[in-house]
Amino acid sequence: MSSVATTVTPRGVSTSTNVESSELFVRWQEQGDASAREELVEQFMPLVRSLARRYGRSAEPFEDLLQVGSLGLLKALDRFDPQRGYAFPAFAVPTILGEMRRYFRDCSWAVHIPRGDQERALRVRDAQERLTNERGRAPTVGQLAQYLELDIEEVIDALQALLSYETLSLDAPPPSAEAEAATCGETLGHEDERYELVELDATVSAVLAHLPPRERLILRMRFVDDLTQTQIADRIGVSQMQVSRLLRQSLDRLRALTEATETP
Amino acid sequence: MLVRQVLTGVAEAIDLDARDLYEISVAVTEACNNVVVHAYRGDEGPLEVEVYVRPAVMEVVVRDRGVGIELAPEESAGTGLSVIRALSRSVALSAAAGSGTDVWMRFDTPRTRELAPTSTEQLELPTPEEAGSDTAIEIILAPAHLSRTILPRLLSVFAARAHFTMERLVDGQLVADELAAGVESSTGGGHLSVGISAQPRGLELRLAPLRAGHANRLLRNASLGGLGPVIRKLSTHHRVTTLASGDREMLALRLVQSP
Repeated sequence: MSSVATTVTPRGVSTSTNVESSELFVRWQEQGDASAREELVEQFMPLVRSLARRYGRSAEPFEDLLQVGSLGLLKALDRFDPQRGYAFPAFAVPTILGEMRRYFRDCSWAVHIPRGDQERALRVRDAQERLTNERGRAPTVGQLAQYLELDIEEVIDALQALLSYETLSLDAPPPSAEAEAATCGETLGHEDERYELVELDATVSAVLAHLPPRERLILRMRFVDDLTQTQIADRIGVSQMQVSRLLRQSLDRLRALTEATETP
Repeated sequence: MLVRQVLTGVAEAIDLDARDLYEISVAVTEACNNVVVHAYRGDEGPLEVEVYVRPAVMEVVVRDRGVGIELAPEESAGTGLSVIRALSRSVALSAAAGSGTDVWMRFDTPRTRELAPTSTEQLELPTPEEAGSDTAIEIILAPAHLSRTILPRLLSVFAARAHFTMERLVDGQLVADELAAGVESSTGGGHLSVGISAQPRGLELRLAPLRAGHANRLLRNASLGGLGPVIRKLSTHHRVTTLASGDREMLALRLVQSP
């Protein structure tokens, strides 16, 4: 049927389709005509598809959702009463969504989502390193999204996860960088000493001294020496994302320390 | 996308279950899409969102200033509304011809942390003087400490749209952190209005209403441990405006691609 495609849009279920489908409903519900049901399924599968797209995200098993959605559609076909004057979609959406929700809540969700988020965050982090190395400057969110075939929003979510230092598992360096990471502490030590030799100017308050040397160093490089995060990352041999996270973390700490000392 | 980031920020602040958040997001996204598709007939237009957290209940109002959705019976409002109905406890629409539509959704949010009660009277949006034609969003946060989880996310979206590099985007996060940390004590009435608008190669962030003198205090306080004014360093321009009421002010900050 060529009219099927139009049923996807919110307002696409025209009355003419309804008249046509109400005959099908009679044939299926009253006469048990399986071919009528088949036609109805065919006609309303785009609705199931559209709901699966709305409800599921790219990381979700779309086919699974489609399957449970179809189950909902079949139930709705059985229960729908064309006499009441509502359009079928308005009746079917809650049933179809209900099946999808139950499916999510029962099986896949709890295990699936957090792991998906985490994996995505790691992919974003790795891709950022790669692109930065290739191009010599940090990529934009859009470039990262395009590179990883993700939504911009997914990249932003990943960034939030990466920047939150509570996410301990993300603290581990990428496996390939382990060797580098081992030497990074050393490099850091040297750089740090050199910076320590520079006499702290009078405006640098004692609060700063409470921070661990690496954080203090990064803060100085960023805010006193005006280095970019990428430059800092190069100098101390960690990833730019780690620099970002350390900056955020140390500013948080600094703020807490400042508040603590200012409170009478 | 902005609105979903706000909801995620709220969820973080109240420990909302990830599945509940997800369904609320889907429903609210439908409401927003409806605004984009119907209210402005595909054109740009302001979208106002208010999120209210009550004990075990979250209410979200999505409001447009468009032509208004035709509130015909059941079917005409389409699949979007059916989705909202299916995912929320209740939904109400109100519309006046030519003056926009409110979609008011209520969700059950059991086992969430409660926020300090705030008065929702006299909520005052920052003047979107330059918001005009550009993409902009105005959001009321009550209590103001919600900005800790929401502001960084909102800024990210605008920064991403303005093609900030990841590095520069992190700068935005740091600014948002600093502001959010300081803003709570600077809002007199316990609520904060946040406005963000897209600008050529950047964005503008507006915070109001702040107690008199507090906008500058916010900027000054961020000079942590002698590092210098962190916010000023990371943003390119700031402006303090006294609001009509006289005893409140607005802080506007601008961030651009490269400082």
